[in-house]
Amino acid sequence: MSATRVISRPQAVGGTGDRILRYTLGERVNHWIAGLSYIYLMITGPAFWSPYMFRLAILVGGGPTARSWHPWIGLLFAASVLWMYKIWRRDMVVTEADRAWQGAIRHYIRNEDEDLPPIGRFNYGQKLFFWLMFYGVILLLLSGLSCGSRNPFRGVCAGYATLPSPPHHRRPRNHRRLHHSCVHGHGHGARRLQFHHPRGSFRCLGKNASSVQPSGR
Amino acid sequence: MSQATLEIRRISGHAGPVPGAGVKREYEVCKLIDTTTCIGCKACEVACLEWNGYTFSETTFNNSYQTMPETAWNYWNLIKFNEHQREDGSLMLLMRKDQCMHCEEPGCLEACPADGAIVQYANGIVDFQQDHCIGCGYCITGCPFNIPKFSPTAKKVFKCTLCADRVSQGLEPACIKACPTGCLHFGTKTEMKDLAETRAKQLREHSGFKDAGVYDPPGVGGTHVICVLHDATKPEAYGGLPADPHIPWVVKLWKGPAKWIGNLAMLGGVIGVTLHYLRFGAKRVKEDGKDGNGGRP
Repeated sequence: MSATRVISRPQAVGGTGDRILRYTLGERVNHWIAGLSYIYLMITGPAFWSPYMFRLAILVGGGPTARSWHPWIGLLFAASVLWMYKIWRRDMVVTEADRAWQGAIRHYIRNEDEDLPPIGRFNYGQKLFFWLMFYGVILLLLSGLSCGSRNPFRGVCAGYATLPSPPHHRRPRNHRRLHHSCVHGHGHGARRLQFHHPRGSFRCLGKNASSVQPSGR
Repeated sequence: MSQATLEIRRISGHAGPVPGAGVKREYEVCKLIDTTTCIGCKACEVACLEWNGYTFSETTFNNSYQTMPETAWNYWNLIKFNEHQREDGSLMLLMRKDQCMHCEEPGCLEACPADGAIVQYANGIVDFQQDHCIGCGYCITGCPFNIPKFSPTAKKVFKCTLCADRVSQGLEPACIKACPTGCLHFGTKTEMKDLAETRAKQLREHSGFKDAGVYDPPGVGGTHVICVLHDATKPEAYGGLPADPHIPWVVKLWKGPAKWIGNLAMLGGVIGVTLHYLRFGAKRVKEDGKDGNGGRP
């Protein structure tokens, strides 16, 4: 860890002499988790993103392996970003000092750090990147949900289902069901179900239904 | 179909023209499901299981004759039963064989990211190649008919193949073979479309079903499984057949604008970083740390 002289949170101060602890162990562990999981996601994500990048999956054990790990590593990455939000939220608030730094960003681009105005714990660029990743991870989570088989709204997107119940549970209003006396199961080990309606089969059809008489009456 | 290359072109010592020469052959196959003559016997369900080597699944009772709520990864063919109440109050027991519709523009194929996992043959059959499937399930999201199903044990997705193995040998699909009422037909797309239209006309003119028609939805470019319906204006009544199926907007967004925006963002990032490095080089921190910025990068 390099020594620094600017720190916004007194509780993060540690070490001895003139050395200041800039990031705690927890912060460093979290950042490593985020970094490593992000590298994995940047290999597997583009593989699913575009056919031209599909062969990237070979680097991490092939398509099926990448597909089974990607969602879990994605959740790990999202969790680490949320953890960052929890511990750095206050330090990442953009302040007036950041506006001055933003105006002098050309010095940062040209590696002229001595010409940059003084700032708090993080510079404006770091803050911008933090918020980009924070909102980005929410979009990434949604994108993973939207195309995967676990997308709960896929039927609605495709138009074969309506919220909230799947089609086979929908019945028209005032609909009278045909109650049948038995249901046959076929074949290997299928159970044979016997259902006897107390009012007898088809007794509940009603007087308007006389034009269609199912067989078995 | 597969013998197309063995059509006779010239014959030695033969007087007159080559028999059949110049005949245009149609390779696009089609299955016709005439829901008006289906009796719901489920022979096609059994035939499908037998030919494809699956055992019968446990049935689910839901106050209906239907075997289970929807098709499964190892149950590709399901008769959907619906007790439909007509406008005059009378009831109809509607039965439709639910299966892969083999779309001309398949949403599953459009959504699939794995090289070679879904193919469309020249005869129109859309077939899953489980060897290349990675089990991501994008096809499940891409299908407007809710057909592809994920197998938790194989970690692959399965669906009806329209018996591509049988069709390639000049046989009809197993379900067609088993149907006792002749409500299932198999042939070329043109033949089946003609047959279906003839039947729909018959229903309209002689059986009092004034809205009878053929279900061959244009939203997916037409399908290689078409249905004759008593009431073509209400396909939803036939076990949730979508009135206007199309590739879901989420897949179109994903494969269209979102892909280009993402590609440009990635490319822009790489180009930007490279140009910055070439122009300004790496940052060097002075040994005494007095670089005016606390030594941070």
